[in-house]
Amino acid sequence: MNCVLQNSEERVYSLETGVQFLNAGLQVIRGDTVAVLGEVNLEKEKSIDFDKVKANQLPPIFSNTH
Amino acid sequence: MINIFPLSLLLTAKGSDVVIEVKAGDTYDGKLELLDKFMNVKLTNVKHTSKDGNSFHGIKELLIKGNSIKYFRLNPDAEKKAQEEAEIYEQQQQQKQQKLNEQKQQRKSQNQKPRGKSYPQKQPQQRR
Repeated sequence: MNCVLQNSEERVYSLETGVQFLNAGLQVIRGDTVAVLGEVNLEKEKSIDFDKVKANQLPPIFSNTH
Repeated sequence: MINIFPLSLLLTAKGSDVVIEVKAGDTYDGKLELLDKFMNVKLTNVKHTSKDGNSFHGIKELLIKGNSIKYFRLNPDAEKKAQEEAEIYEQQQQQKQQKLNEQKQQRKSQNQKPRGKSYPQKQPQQRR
């Protein structure tokens, strides 16, 4: 399930500050590292104030060394 | 807008600079020289950054096994180039199809014409 993402951004969650957005541009992601692929609800996204969101980083869904 | 498959997008990115992050978390930034269907990759003039971002290495030539790659970061121009090449390919395919159709029609019209020479059929010999 190799993926191509255009105008992509990386979201970094942390407990100290709000969500950071890193611009990642055009990406090709190798399928075997993909755990979930889904459509984003843009209306719901707009209603979230990401500056106030403080959350722990997601734990790895599978280990890197398998 | 034509759909482009990930590996064909990578093929069009050949010769340009890419960033590859491997599953171990290290990143390699270099010129993409070679690529195969397993996503094995040859890079030249590589800058290697460790996972924590503290140590850097310069590497002249490097082969990465496709298996160990997490993702590529590409120049946005690569997408435009791939789009153009896909359009050219599509046009070529359409032209081929048209030619095939014309040939088929020609053959059909030839088949409808009566054959040039009809051979006399052998009469069965009458037995006495």
